[in-house]
Amino acid sequence: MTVVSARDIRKTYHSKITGLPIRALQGASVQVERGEIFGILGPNGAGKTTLLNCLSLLLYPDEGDIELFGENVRRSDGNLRARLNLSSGNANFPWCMTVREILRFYGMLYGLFGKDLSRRVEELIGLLELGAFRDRRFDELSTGTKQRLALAKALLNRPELLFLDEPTIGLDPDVSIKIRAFIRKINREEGITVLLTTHYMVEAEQLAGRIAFLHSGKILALGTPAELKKEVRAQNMEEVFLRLSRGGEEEA
Amino acid sequence: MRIFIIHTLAFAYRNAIFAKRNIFVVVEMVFWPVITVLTIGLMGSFLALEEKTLAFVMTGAIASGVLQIAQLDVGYSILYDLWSKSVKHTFLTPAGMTPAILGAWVIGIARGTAVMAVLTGLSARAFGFPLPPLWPALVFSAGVFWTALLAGIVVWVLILTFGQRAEISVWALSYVVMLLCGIYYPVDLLPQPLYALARLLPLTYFLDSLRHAYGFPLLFPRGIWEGWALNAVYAVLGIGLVRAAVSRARRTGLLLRLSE
Repeated sequence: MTVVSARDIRKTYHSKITGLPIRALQGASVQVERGEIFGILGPNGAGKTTLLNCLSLLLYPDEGDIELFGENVRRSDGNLRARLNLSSGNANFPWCMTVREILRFYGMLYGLFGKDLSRRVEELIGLLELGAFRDRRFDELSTGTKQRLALAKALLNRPELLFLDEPTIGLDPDVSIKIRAFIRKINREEGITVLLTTHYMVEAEQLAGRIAFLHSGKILALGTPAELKKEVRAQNMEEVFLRLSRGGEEEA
Repeated sequence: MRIFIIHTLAFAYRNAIFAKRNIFVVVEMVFWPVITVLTIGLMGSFLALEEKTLAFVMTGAIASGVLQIAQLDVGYSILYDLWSKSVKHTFLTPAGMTPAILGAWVIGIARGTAVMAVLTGLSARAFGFPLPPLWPALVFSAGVFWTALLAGIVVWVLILTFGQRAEISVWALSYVVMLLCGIYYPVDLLPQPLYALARLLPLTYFLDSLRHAYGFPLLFPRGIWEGWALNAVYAVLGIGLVRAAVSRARRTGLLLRLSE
């Protein structure tokens, strides 16, 4: 079953200083199947986060159609929001709330209450090893712990579709490895469809079944890591990245 | 309906935690309103105001403190997200903005009621402020809290339209409202254009009605009804404007910029 179907998505911003148009997305199309881990790769300013924000309904595209779970988002975005969630790198939450309070607050926003809420919060605190930080305020947490909290928040509603925006950015390698393992685990065991953006080639190759390579708001290549390597005759994903980036610059 | 209530409770829960943990929330609740009441009370003593006139100005001072505190909570609900850069996480959820506003307002009413009790007690004890009869006091309180809700909604619309630069409105708006609706004077003293604006503010009618309980002539004989009619119209209009502003912020990307 197709979970995400986006066709010809276009989004243009206007520079606050010059007023000139910045074409963040220029006709991007992706299709993500249930249970997939789908990677969106590309250099800075390629439009990865803009695409993710459009798909997670935080940003309305100027043109194009988005369907989530077969439903057009223009018609029923309220119901769809309950079925998805997002965790972004450099996570930010209310500074004076504790880990437990943050999870309780967002849990309620996803309709959990009473025993169900307490159970789910404790379950996620255990799953993401946040027990020692349960009563610590957000502004007292390390970057790695904040990132785990962001993941816990993103799982509160047992999402069918999870968006991860640079999930390991700025983290130590050991924490990154743990988080990648966790993403694989929830994808495999809970069947959550994952759509992630990343700068890290290793991460993309290890996690994603298929990858879309984005440059200047356009998808230049799409396929499994092996297909992409074959397509641009590269030895590894770093080479894929460099060749496609250069190709994209020439085209742009 | 159950989900709507849970969403409302979530926002009330967050505002309650912020109110408990942040010293600025406590200071603004006690410090400024008490200073205002003391200043006006002392001025009343210096001018040797008769009891009735003292009641007139003290009702303005108390209303000002209560309105400010109650509307701050509603405005803070969006500002807490903005200051903690977590706007997108809240707007990602299925929760609508009406529960966000109502949940914050519940805490605003609680804090406003506490401020009202402190200021009324202080005014009565220190300056001999005569307490108003119960019924006019209740109608007046309801009117002040409803005005606070409307002022908070305006803050929401301004922030969702103009971004962070509009945050000053959360502190400024209630002063403008009080200036127009006759904080220490009857509104018929205002220049004509300001008087016309005062007539558009529900609080003008509620203040007028409370002061009538102290023996002042009613400026607006059907004022209470006009005040509540305006309240109802503005609430519907306000919620519509918030929805439109959220939709626009999702189109322009402002919602995401507020998270950066």
